[in-house]
Amino acid sequence: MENGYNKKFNSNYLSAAFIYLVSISFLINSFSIKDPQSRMFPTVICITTIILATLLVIRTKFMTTKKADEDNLTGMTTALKMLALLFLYVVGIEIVSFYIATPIYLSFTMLALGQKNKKLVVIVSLLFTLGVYLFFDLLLGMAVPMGRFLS
Amino acid sequence: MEFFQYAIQAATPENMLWLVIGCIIGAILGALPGMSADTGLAIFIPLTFNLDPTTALITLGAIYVTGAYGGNITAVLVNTPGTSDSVFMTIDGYPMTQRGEGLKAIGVTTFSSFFGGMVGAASLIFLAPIIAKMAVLFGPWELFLVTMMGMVVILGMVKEGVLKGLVSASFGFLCSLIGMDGVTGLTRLSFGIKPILDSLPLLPVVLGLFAVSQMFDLAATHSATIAITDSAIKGSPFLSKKEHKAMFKNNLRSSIVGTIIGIVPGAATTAAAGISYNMAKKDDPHPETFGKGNPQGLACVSAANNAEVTGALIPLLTLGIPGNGTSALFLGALLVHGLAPGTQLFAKTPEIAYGMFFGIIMATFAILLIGLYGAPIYSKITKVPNSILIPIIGSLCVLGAFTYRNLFFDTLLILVFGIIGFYMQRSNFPLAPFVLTFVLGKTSEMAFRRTMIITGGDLTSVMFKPLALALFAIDLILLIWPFWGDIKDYLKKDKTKTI
Repeated sequence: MENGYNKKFNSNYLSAAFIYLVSISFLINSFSIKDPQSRMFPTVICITTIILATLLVIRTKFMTTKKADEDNLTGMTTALKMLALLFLYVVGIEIVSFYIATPIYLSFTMLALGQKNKKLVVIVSLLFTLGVYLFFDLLLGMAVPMGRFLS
Repeated sequence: MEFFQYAIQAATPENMLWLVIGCIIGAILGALPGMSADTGLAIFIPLTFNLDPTTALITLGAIYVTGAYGGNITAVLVNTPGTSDSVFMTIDGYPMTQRGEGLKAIGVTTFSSFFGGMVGAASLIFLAPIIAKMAVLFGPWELFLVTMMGMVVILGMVKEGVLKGLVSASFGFLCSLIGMDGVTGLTRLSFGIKPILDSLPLLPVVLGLFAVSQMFDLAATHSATIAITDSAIKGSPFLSKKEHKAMFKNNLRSSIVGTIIGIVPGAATTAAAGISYNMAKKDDPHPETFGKGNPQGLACVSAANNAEVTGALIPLLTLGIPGNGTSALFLGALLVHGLAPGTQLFAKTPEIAYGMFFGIIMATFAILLIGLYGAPIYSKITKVPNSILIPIIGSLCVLGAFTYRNLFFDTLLILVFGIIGFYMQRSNFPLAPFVLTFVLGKTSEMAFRRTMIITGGDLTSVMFKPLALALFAIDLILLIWPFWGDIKDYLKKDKTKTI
């Protein structure tokens, strides 16, 4: 059988590794469920997932290329940068409140994404935050996170 | 005839004003990632305390109907479904937008949602008592078979990459089992994490998988705007007679499927969309175009979605059994206004019941106005630079996730599922099977186990009931149908070899 996939790294292996990690953790955890009826479905689904992940590995290693095996992980670095900014934003909201963290997050992210018009960055950041306050807080009376210092 | 008499009575200036308010609020909340008709209902139910019950129910009905539609706009234009029910709109709607047909995509989803909503509303008004008798026949085994219907359609959706589709579905099923076991009350697979002791919450998971991952995708592609073509947004949201005719059969079939699924308590909108999509794909002369911007793919799920929403009110109003989670909020609204669902609602307060139906029909018409005349404005969003759009989507997602349960944990959850969703899409793991099994997994498990408890493990006592047999036959057909062409070809080849 030919390994039709000539790339050095195939993301299917990474996917399978992640699935193994999750399924095996869940399977081990399911052994602590006392009721056998309650344990049945988690055990069956974990084992099914492990089998499917194994089939994926076998197919990737030994069988010809399928279109479904072509991945496009370019831009992963940019995605991780966005993830990091979003994470800092979430932490910022938790500490200093939505109304302070949001304009900072919007400004930094717009600049990081290549927005050169600084006036526009400031206007959008402030207008958006004001819009959220008017619509969600004043009009609908929804709870907007106020952070640990302001709540 | 009663309906028309009470509808005229309900058409007062005050009721019309509140109807307009409800439609606008519902559409906006439905479109915003993380918000939904549930949010609108939860906010407005207390605000309607002092209103006349008819006015209150007209307002809430308008939020309910337009809230279900609102998510379609952002799903189609920005690949960011406003609600979990709009997830299927992204499959064909967003590719249409990318090739500059955003206006047409809005037109298709608007008209089909209107079509589905009207079929659902007509069923509600004229067939409710008859159809409600069917809901009583649905026991746990029948519910299990319906959830299986929603899951076997996965095979039709992932024909080109079955293994990865099954992996995605299996992962979704696993995630659905996290939290409290619905039968015994024991907590499972939560690893002691308090916010998920009950279950992994649907909204943050869907927000992460679709909206946040879309953010990452837009950033990663480095494109200036969403629309790939530099030309202006092509076409018009108003469809031609030919286009309407081409979509009629699809819309009708999907609306009927959506209404029937809506009547079954516990069956999710996602199941209706999935089944309709599969049927439409199989029926299409060019099934390979599904998933690449085929308007029929967008039309069927839009019709099924809105038909399911109105269909779900049938068991609620006739039997007091909510057809879905949002209609359960409606039950609260009825009780708050001193109304009891069931035959008494129609016998003692027909002006309120039929007044509400009138509101729902008017809101369904409002979908046409909101969609068709608002389309040129909404579609401009595809021309907003991604450097501005991406952080705004991110902020709305975080806000939406937080307001769901007022928990910081949910905002972290959208990040986790955001990166998972991005990776899955880039590695060709389809997201729709994950969502289907995530939504239906626990329900199917509970239905199966309840059946085993009730029957003492002897399935033969329920398997051969007429409704159960009919549902099983449908499951079998849906399982084999996507592969029927291949099976026929294989048998032909075999015969030729033998000869």
